[in-house]
Amino acid sequence: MGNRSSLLLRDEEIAQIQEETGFTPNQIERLYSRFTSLDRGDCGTLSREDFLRIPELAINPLGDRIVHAFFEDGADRVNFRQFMQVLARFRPIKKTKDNKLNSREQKLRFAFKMYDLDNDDKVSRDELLAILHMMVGANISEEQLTSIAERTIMEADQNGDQMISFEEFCKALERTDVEQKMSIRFLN
Amino acid sequence: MSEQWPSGQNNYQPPTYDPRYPQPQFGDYPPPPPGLPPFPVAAPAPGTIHIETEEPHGIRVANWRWTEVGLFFTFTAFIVICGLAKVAFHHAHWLSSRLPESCLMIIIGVAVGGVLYLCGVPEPENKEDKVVPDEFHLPTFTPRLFFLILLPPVILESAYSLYNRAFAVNLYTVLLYAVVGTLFNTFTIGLLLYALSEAGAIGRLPVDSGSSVFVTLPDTMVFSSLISAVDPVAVLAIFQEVGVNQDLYYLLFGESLLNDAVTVVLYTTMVTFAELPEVHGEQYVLAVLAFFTVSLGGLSLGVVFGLVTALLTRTTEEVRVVEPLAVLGIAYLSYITAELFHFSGIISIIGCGLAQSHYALRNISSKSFTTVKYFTKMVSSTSDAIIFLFLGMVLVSDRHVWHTGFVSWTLLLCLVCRFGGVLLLTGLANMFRVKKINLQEQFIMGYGGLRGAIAFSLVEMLDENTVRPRHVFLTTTLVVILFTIFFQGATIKPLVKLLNIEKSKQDCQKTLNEEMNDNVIGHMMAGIEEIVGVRGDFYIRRKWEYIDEVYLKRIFLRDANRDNSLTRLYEKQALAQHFAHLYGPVTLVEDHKATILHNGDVLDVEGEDVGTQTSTEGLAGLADQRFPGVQLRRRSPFDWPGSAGELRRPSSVAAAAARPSAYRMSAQEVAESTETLRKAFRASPYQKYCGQYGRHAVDDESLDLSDQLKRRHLTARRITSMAALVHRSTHVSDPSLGAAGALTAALGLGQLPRRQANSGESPVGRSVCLPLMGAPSCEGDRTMTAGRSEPSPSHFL
Repeated sequence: MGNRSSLLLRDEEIAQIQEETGFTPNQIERLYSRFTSLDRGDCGTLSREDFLRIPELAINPLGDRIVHAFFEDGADRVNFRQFMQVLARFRPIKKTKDNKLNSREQKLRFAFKMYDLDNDDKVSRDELLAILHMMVGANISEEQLTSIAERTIMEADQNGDQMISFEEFCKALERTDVEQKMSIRFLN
Repeated sequence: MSEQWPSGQNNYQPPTYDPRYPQPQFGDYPPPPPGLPPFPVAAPAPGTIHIETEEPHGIRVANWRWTEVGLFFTFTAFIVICGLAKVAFHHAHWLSSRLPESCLMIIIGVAVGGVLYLCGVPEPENKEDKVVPDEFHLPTFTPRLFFLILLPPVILESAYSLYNRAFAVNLYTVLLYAVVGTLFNTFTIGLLLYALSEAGAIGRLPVDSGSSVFVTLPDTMVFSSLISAVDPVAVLAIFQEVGVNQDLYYLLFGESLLNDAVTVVLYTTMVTFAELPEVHGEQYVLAVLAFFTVSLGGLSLGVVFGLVTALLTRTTEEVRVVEPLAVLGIAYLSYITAELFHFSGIISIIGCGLAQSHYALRNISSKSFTTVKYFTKMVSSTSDAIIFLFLGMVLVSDRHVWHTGFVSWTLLLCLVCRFGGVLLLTGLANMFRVKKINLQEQFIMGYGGLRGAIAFSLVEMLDENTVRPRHVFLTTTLVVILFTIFFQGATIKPLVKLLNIEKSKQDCQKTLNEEMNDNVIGHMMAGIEEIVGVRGDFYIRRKWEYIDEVYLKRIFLRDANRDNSLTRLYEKQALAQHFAHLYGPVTLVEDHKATILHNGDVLDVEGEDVGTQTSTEGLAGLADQRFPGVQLRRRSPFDWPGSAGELRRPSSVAAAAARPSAYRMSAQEVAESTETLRKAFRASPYQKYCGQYGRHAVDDESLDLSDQLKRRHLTARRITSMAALVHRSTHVSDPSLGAAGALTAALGLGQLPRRQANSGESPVGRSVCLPLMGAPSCEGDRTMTAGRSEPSPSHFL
């Protein structure tokens, strides 16, 4: 598999992706082999179904949201370059190498997409409630969930529109160590 | 830490240069427990009454029974004085800002030891049977006292503090340092010392018999095995005060705790090797195996005990008093049991503490939880102080044998190997870490490798016959300990500042947003890991959480469903805000921040309140129907009849006296209203439900949100109706005074009991203060209590 994939990936493509994302060629080839193994149709792009075929992802409460975040507006397939650009957000931040894709803001923006169900750049009470439902399931009463959602909004809301905008979201997570929490180590 | 008592240990012989003691003849029986208070030989069996004089005499009014009580007296006095020394230290700010507490305790120890030495109190030789009855007997440091009594509380407290995300994240690195690092240190120090000795850099070490020997390889290995382990007590004592960032703290602290298994195994192995004439290959294999039984055996034992606690505490709803006992007792039991099997007691009690924090501490009531936390904190800080005091006391002794070459080489090697090991291992760890450990932090890691009482206890346990230069080792160990604690410990704080180490963030409460996001990020990152195809920490974490949620919590938690980090945080916050609502008004008025009151959010009094409706009707110039407090914003404090300052007076009586007499309440009225309230409280259905007195029930305040909200509602009613009442009386006599003044006067009444209620220590104490002033509005109730009066409302508390 690894051989085949490296054959398919041309050097200039690797160089381009490396330029864009900051991944090393080794990491790119490794991820490309992962990409092709997910690509059941062998068409060079991934569909939502391809993602959701990963068993653990299918049972992840946020699985749908995560997969959705890979697709740009309206698109229903994602190519390797787009795939890599999304993954680049989760590279650890290095002080020496500045890369726009894995900045704190980009990481937060990805997290914000989890909440923003209707893509309007604001998180409303209902959206928050829906996410809460996904995560805690039936353990907690509806009433309590509602009050948690309301209070969460109240806490972050600054302009009083009962919604959390991206700026308010960043402000609310000021103290969180997003750089560390939203980074994974990509194998070489 | 488990100390073995090697068989040779039992025939320990006191040094011949000390003529005070005759040569003891021990058989093969184990030595008496040196750490436990032994009964003086002459003490009668318990239960009999000891009569000091031979002749029969009549009843005496007073008696002197030192032989029976003295020992316990000195022990208790010793402990209390240790605790008090801490207090004194913290009052001397000029000292406590410069010197770590552990250093001070050592200095005090030296002073105590010096006084005893000058007084000619015989120097203890860790053999309790030498205690002469009727003699002034002081507690002395013995390895057994240290390992079985003093150490467990310190470790238990730290185990509870290890229940933390930051520790889990850094676990791999911690294990690397603890296992590989300690091995590295032991072997490099041991081998280098031997090499130096062979090269002639150290020379001959004096031994007891007056002769001197060259140090042998087994000797140096035994010595290095005990000198290379970082000591948790010392690290904890220093680094809690320094306040470095969590990652660094847990790296260093975790290492010092978890290296115990390695130290135990290395130490016992080396001692055995030193005893054996020749070592066969299988011994090495057994030593490696022993490491796994000691560490994993200890861990599993501890976890099992922790789970047993969880099961036990599921059933203690009716007998709350035993909850702290169950938690603390079983934790100690896990330590002792591990020691019994010669597993690592430290690792066992850490496993137990972690399992308890995860399950058992959620089963017990909030009061029991506080008790457990506070008790461990108290005992551990006391043991901590005692340990350092002892370290100081043993310094003053005739036994020391100084050897400049050995001491200085050891000191140097300890530092060099520590730094070398840290740099090497951090380089290794950084390859696998998301958040790298930077060079400054590596330096602090190396510099923070403090040695402490564990090393000293281990060297105390050495046997003269096996390790001949025992006394040189003992002295050297003490020097190393003192150097690390005094020099490194005292300079770490400035160094941390100098190197610009990231400090720990203000440990304030998580917000709901943060908590929620942690959950989301956890799920999200697990998903990303799946997509990337690399199962890492997030995957493991999520899997564990899933198993925990679905299976384990159902078994070990009393109420598994209610337990969710998000709801817990929500309830905590709602409660906090609720208390702010309850006491906010009083505090605001006291602090003259009345202007904030216009914010409806702060004083959100329910509008349906009947009292408000009737009261606000008559108020002229009252803009907001919801609460008369709006007036406060409009009025500057200087409009008030009295001067602004008087409101700050703690005594409501004084404040009231300065105001127009119209709404001054007599002491009798106050007392009456207090009594009324008390009755009302007793009669309330909530109190009836909760206040059943049982011998085994600790008076638990219900922290249930719904109960609290109900009380908040009631209190809000009282505040408003009180304001209305006071207003009515003011209205007649002094129309110029608005409701704002009335309200403040009313609130001012709340000051007296509140101040006495220990300013916010206990919610119970505080919750009575506000309802207090609402009471006079219950005219119906007042008739019941008419005639009863007490001078001050403080009796209510």
